[in-house]
Formats: sequence, structure tokens, C-alpha cells
Amino acid sequence: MKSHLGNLGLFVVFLILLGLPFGSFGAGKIMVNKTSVLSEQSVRKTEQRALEENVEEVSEVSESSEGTTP
Amino acid sequence: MFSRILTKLVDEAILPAVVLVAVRIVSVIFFGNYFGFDVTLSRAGFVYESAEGFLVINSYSTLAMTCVIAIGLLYVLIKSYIFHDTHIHPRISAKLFSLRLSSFIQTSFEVYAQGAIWLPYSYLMLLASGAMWYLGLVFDWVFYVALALAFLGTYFLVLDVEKELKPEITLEGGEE
Repeated sequence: MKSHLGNLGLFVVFLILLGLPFGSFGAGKIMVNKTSVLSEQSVRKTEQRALEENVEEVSEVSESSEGTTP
Repeated sequence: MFSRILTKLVDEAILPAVVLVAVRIVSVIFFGNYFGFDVTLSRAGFVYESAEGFLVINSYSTLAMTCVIAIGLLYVLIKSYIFHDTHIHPRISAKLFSLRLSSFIQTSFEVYAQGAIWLPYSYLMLLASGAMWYLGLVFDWVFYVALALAFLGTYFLVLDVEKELKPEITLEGGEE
């Protein structure tokens, strides 16, 4: 049992060593005028998604209220 | 006790991992200066001043890492083709012994343990460069170079393993 755990630990260490150099790919930030471009992009995408959802909700409401107007 | 193969793999993986991380850091700083883009190393990682700079530096830095993996794979392939104890040429063997360089001759276990490190590195580089190319973070040729390296590395290493598994048939009909 102990040797199995030890081998599993060794295997995990091996995988970490394999992945270590590629971890550095994620450690990049693009800053333009001291603001991160990636974070700006993600904020813009979230806003756009929220806007689209709002539009969908409004269109659903308008469709459902079409028959009820006097 | 611990598995001998796993212990060997961990032992062999330390140096390539350290070298690749060092190459990544040095190459980002070097190409940043070379192409005239501002790159700073902070606690959050590398900070690039422009998206264009990020694309150029990331591409060339990834290429530098691919070149290091290519050198590692070439080293393993030279050892497996020329200095492999199962099929080393007698003339080379005699020369190495006369020069007291018999340590150059390596067993299958040593050769393939190193191959089992550098080849997965080339596959991981292929995956990483493919994902980054898809996201527009590197130029397309970086991915093609990584693809060529992974393909050639696999092809030549498989040929050597085949040579190892299948004994050569001599003209006299016997096996070597």
C-alpha cells in the first residue's frame, strides 16, 4: 500500500515536471495604458452577453404581451 | 519500494523542465529587447505593453522552446542510433573503448527514459502551440514547426524501438 502511494506520488511529481514549462504560457498580461487588455476584453464580452440576454428577455416580454393589449 | 522506472523518469525530467522554464524567461526578455517591445517581469507574470508585442514575443519565445526540445530529441536520437549498446557498430565501440569513453555507450533503459521525457515535451508543445494559434496568441508557423518536430521525433524514435524489438536477419539466415 505504501509503495503504491509512493509510486502515485512519484507519478504526480513527474506530471508536474512535465507541465511546469507550459505553466509559463499562462503568465502573460498585455497592458495598454496600464489596463489589462485581456481583462478589458473579458469585461466587454460579459457586458455584451448581458446586453444580448436583456434583448432576448425584452423580445420575449413583448411577444407575450402582444395578445393582452386592449 | 518505489518503481525504478518512475524514479528514473522523475530524475530525467528535472533538468529538461528547468532548462525549458529558463529558456522561456530568457527568451521573452531577449526578444522583447531585440524587437524593441517593452516587457516587464512582475509578480503577476510577464507584462507586455502592446498586443502586437505579445504576439511577436510569444511566438519567438515558443519557437525558442521548440528548438530546445528539438536539441533534446536530437541528443536522444543520436544516442539511440549511434551509441545504443544493442546495436552499436563494433568499430565505434572499439574506438570509444580506446578513447576511454565507454560511458557514451548507453543501455535501452537510459536511452528510452530520456526519450520518454523529450517526446511528451514535444507533444505538449504541439498542444500548447495549437491552442495558442487557435486563440490568436502565436503565429501559425510556430504550430507547424512544433507539428513537424513531434512527427519527426516520433517517427525516428519508433524506428529505433522497432530495430530494438526486431532482431536483424543476416544473409546467412541466422539472427544477429
